[in-house]
Amino acid sequence: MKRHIKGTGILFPILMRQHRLRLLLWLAGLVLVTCSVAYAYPGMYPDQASREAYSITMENPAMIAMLGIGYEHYQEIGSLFALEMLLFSAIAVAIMNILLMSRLTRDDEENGILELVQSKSVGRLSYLTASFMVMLSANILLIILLVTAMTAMRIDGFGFSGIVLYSSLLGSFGLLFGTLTAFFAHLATSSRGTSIFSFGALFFFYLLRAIGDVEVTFLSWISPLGWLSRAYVFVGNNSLPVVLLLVSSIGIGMIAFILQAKRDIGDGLLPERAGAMRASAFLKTKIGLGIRLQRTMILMWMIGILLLNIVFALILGDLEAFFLENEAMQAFLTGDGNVMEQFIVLLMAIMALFITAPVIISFLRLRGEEKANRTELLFSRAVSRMQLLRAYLVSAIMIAVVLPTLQAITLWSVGFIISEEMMSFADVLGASVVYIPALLLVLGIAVLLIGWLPKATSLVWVFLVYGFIVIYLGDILELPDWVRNLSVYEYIPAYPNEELSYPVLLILSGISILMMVIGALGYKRRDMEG
Amino acid sequence: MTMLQLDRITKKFGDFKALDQVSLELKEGEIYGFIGPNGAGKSTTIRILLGMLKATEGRATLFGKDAWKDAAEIHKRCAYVPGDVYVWPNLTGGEVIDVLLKMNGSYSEKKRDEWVERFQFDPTKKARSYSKGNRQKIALIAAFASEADLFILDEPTSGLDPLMEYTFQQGVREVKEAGKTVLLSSHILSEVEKLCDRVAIIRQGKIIERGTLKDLRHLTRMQMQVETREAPEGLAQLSGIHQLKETEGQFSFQADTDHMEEIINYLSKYGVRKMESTPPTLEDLFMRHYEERSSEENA
Repeated sequence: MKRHIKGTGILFPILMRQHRLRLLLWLAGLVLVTCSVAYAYPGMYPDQASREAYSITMENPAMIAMLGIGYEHYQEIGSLFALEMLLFSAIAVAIMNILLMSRLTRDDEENGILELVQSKSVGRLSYLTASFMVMLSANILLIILLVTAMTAMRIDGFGFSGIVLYSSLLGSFGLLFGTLTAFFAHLATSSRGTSIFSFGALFFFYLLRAIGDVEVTFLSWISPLGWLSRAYVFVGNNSLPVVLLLVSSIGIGMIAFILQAKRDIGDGLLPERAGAMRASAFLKTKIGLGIRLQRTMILMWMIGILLLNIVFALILGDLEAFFLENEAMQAFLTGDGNVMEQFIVLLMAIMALFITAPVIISFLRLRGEEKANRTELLFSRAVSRMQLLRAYLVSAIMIAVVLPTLQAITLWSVGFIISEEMMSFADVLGASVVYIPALLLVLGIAVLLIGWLPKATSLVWVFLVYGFIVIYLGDILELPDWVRNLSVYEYIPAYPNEELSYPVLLILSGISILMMVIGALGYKRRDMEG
Repeated sequence: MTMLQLDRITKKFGDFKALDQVSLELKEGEIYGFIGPNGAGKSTTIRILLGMLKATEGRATLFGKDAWKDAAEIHKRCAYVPGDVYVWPNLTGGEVIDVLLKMNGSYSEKKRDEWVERFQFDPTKKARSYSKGNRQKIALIAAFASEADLFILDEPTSGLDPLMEYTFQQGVREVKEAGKTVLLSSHILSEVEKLCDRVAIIRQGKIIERGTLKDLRHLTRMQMQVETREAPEGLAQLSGIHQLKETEGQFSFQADTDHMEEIINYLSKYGVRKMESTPPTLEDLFMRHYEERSSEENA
């Protein structure tokens, strides 16, 4: 055995150094978010009555599907916290581990690092062992940090054994997904394939648990995500789920090591499908190429945004109860109109920010292609600067128009089934598409930057982040109007609460078209990097 | 007919002068070698030709059209192969070849398949899994299968194995036979020697030498090996003789071509038994140029 792991001691610190910054940021983020939410909880539900009211909301199947099964009673404030935070924190920890482990396994193999290391006097299992040690250290560190920080805060209703169990659940869930990723790395032949399998498993387990928690209980016992809520942290403190997580990690880990010992370097256990010999007619057009390159990205965002809309539509029926009992939520709704109308107007404002992301990502791909030296190949053919810019601009505009429309259709149809008082379709559609000029304006800024300040194109994200800050913190921080008005989204009338102001929308669209034209002129006359 | 012309091109990046008054002219049907070490300005020159970079001064024309303004128009008749080929990792090799060919209009699938075959290329794999050589094949297939009149090749064989390099050279010869023009930038001198009619040497952004290979050899030395009946005393004192070495009665030295007559006359007095001369390889020529330049600079 010893000769198989020769050199692990040298590899471990090297790998640790490679990933320490990224891990540090992840850990800091996780601990910070957990602690600040935990700190806020006692204030949000100060008395037993508000906790009871919350438990009524939690009986809604939509909420159970989203957050998992609830507790019998909510006397301990920690139980509320665990119910809302445990599942999503576990998913975040899993994502950290998937990204880490796919880099440490298939990615390093794909880039030839493993080959280089293996050519030295190093055991066959050393690299994987060192990778596991890095992953294990990250998760143990997470547990230690969480326990220390949460204990130090001394919040009422957060017992020590509950804190330890909560942190261990997260850590061992991370361990399971790190291990699972190492296992998938043997199946796929690329790091991309490894991540797709791992994220797919995470998504699948989430769905399995959602169905299990609402309808068929045994399905939840197949999904590791289902185990988490069965720990009844802070109340029952059942540690069986931690044991289950650790045992399955060890089992899968052993398989991963056995496969590592048997498999040829660079090989994958699943047969690689032969790809297309020829390009389809669609791919051979400039717009087709741009869309095909971003197919997965666009699809993921579309599914994500539509799913969010479905989830929010599901709670439309219980809105009144939910908002009347939750003071924190009430702070958001300050406008006119009934609760549902206000809620949808606010939801659409936030979703407009989310939709901005795929619009920008899609257009900035043009800059990404340039940085990756791939525009050179196209520009050396009979493709002009304007043609390529237009291709990327058209697909970004398509996203900016199609996504708000689809979202309105989804939100309205699900809402119409759930609630009898659903708004008219025209109003929902209006509330959503009214933001298209704002999306185009941010897109215009991106075009302007790519034409004249190509190295600073990422600055466009500032406008999006600022939009988020104004919407989320504008009321809490009591920002003055002129500060809010620096966000382009603030100019959009909150239809149907406010009158539609066509001049404003036309002016916004006009400015964005102007910026696109000026940006295009810059793009036409500047040097290309590659 | 002039296919490509660079007229006193200067390109500055900030204060750095990447190209200094570079002039080149390619006639229809010739293979023109463009040689120089890494960082000399070969790729910058080519990117100006392709309209990717705008020249600070001077004029670049292809087929009589402006390289910057009419880029897309010009490229319909051009095929370009870069030294480092970057392709979309999630498309297959076959898809990338088709996309590149289609961007220039219609193309012959038969010709494309023929070149896929000749380069023994598997077009069904995702581009992310190809090696450097295989990625280069993508660009080469897309170039040779196109109906271009001008081929701009920027160190196109740096990742190919010798067998594929041969296929590449065949391809370039066939292109020439079809009356087309090739600009071949390289630092692999033997390749340029085998293929090119004329060459230009670039160094630190300036063209330092140009002409046919024959012209350039005149400027330089022959490698000589001589065996004589009597020892040729005083050979070392003759002008035009360099790096004289003696091993067991055999003399080897380099001779300046313009002193050849005197040297032969002198040697004949000592009864020549055996005499071999080899023309300088481009390597020698190249090395010599650099030695001279750097010694001048040092002085």
